[in-house]
Amino acid sequence: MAPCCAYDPLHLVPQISLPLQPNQPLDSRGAFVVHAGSAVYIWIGEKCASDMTDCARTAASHVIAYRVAEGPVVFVKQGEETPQFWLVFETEQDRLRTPEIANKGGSVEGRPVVSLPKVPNDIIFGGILSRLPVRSLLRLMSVSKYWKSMIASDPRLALDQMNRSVKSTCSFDRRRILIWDLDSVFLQDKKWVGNSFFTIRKITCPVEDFSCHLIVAACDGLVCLRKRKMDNVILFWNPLTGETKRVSEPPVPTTPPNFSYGLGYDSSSDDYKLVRICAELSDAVNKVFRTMVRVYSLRHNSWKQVEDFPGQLLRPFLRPLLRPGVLGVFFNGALYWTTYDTQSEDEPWKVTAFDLAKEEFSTLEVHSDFKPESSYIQIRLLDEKLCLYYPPPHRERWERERGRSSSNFWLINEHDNSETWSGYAIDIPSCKTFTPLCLLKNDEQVSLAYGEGKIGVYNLEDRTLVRDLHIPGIPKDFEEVTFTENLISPDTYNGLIR
Amino acid sequence: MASSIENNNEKLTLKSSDGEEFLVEKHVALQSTLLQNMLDSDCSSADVIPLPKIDARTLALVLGYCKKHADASSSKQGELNSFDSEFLKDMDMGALFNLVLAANFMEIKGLLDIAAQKIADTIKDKPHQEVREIFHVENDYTPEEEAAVREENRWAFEGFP
Repeated sequence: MAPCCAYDPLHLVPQISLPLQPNQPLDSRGAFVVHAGSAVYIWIGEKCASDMTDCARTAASHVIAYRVAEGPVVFVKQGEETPQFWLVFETEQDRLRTPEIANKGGSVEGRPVVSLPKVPNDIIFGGILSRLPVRSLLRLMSVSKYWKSMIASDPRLALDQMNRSVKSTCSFDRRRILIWDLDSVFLQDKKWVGNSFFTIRKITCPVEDFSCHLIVAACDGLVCLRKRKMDNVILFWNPLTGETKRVSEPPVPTTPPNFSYGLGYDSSSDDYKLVRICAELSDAVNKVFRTMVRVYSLRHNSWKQVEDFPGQLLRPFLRPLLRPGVLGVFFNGALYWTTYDTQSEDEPWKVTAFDLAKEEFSTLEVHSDFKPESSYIQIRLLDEKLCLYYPPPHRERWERERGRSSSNFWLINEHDNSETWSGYAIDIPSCKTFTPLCLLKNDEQVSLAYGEGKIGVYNLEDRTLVRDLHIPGIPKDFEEVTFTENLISPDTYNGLIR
Repeated sequence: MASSIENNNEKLTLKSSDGEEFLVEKHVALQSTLLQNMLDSDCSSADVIPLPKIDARTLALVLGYCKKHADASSSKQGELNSFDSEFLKDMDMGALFNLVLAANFMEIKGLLDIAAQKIADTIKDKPHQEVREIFHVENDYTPEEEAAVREENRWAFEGFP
C-alpha cells in the first residue's frame, strides 16, 4: 500500500509487490507499508512528506490490528534498507512465480492437503468457528493454546456463536431441553433421529448432592442452582463447559413458601440478570411480608431492589418437590410469570412481564380468545415462542364448548414488536395434564410429556396423539427448560458486545 | 437520467493474480464493498483494477455469484437460496478457502457467509488433529498438556480418536 496523492495522504492504494530490487527503488515521493509476514515495514522515500509518514504509521497499525498481520513495525529509510528488507520482495517474487502451489490445494473428502491456503485468524474465529456447535468447539480447544484461549474467553466469539445458535434453522442442533429429576440433570443430546426419538445424556453436576438442590432459573446456556434449604448462595453454571460462579444472595429469614427466580439477557446493558421474587419481612415488629423483587447483575456482580411484584405468583401444582417455585420465562427482552389476583373476580389470572432493560413490571395484553378456565396457567418457552397452556378443564363442558373459545394451548410469536397469538386445543383422553417439550414440523406438532412418564407427539391440527416416543433413560418424573448451548463463562462474564 | 443509464452500462476490468482480465458490469461489481468504495472515490479511474490475491478460477466463481445476486430481484430470495447451496455443492476445501479469502478481501458479505458456513459444516465432525492441519496451526501443546485439555471436555470427544 502506498499513500499516493499528496492532497489526500489518507488515501491508500493497494499495490502488488512487483519485482523490486535495490537498483529499481520504490517511488521516493511516497511512504510504503509493506506487509511481509514476519513484520510490517514502513519504507519512507527521500522526498516523502511528514504527514504521509504519519499516515503510513497509522495504516501499519491498522494492518496489525484488523488484518491480523504480525508486528513489529520496522521503519526503513530510503538508502538505508537492510538485506532482510529486500529479501521480502525476493521471496514474494518466488512465490508469485509458482502460483500453482498456493492454489492447487484441497481435498474432496477426507485427508486434507497441506497446500490449503492459509486463512487469517479473524476469518477462522469470527467467520468459521462461530458457526460451530459448542461440542465441536470444545474439541477444537485441543488444536493449540491460542485456540483454547480464544474459544474459552473471546467474548466476540461467544456472542457470534450464541446469535447463530438462536438463528440456527436446524433448531435441535443447538436448542435442546435440559431435564432434571430429584437426583440428576440430563441434557438432550441428539437431535431427532428419523423423527421418532431423541436421546438424553446425564451431565456432571457442579454439586455433589444434587438432590439437596433446585434448578431455579435458566436462560440461553446458563443455569442457576440453589440449595433447597436456602443458604443464600446461588450457583451460576454453564452445563456444557462446566464452568460455575458462586453468588451470594440477599438473605431471607426462613425458606419462603412461595418464591420464583427468572434469568434473562438484557441487550441494552449487555448483561444477564437474575430476578428473585420472594416474600420478605418488611416490618419485623408487626410481621408484615411483602413480595420483594431483587435483581442481580452478572456483569457487575451486585444486587439491587426494584418495585414489588404486582400480584401473587401462581404455585406450580404438579411435582412440588421438583419445582417448588415457578421459573420465570425469558422471552424477547422480558421475563414472564403467570399471576393470580385474588381481588379480581372477572379475570383473576394475569401474565406479568418484567422488562429487563427498564426493570419495570407490566401486564401482557392477552388475545381476546384467551379465556382460561383454570387458574393453573403454565408458561414455557418453546423454541423461540412463548407458550401459555393449562390442563383441559371439566371435560363435559369443554367438549360442549369446543370450537368456541376452548383453546388451552397458545403460542405467542414476536414479529416487528407485535405479538401474534395462535390457539390450539390439547386434550389427551384419560390424562389430566401435560407438559409441552418442543415444537415439531413447523409448529404443526408438539412433543409433550403426559400421564405416567410418557412422552408423545401431538398433532395440533387434528388434535390427536400421533405416537409415543421412546427416550432411553428418561426419568419418570422430570422438570425441564429450553436450553440454548453457548460458551458463556459465568465466572468471567463481562458483557458480550465490546 | 441519461447519465444514470450510461452508468448502468459502464463496465470495468478486473485482473486476477495470474493475469487474466475479466470485464464486469458495474452493477455486478457493486456487490463488492471494496469495488464500490474504489468506484466511489475518484482515485480509481484506472482502466484495470488488479486483484493480486485472487486467481482467475476463484475470481470467475466470485463474479458468477455477484452476477446472480445483482440480477435477481429481492423478491426471489428462495431462488437465490437454492442458487447459493447449488453454487457451493461439491466444491473442494481448497476452492472454498480461496473463495472465503476472496470474499473477505473484496468485502462480499453474503458470499463470505455461505462459504464460511460450508467450511464450518465440513469441519464440524472432524477430529481436531485434522482441523489443525487444515488451518496450518502449529501444535504448541506437550502431549501431557493436550491430554489434560482433552480430559477437561471428555464428553465432547466421545466417538473421536
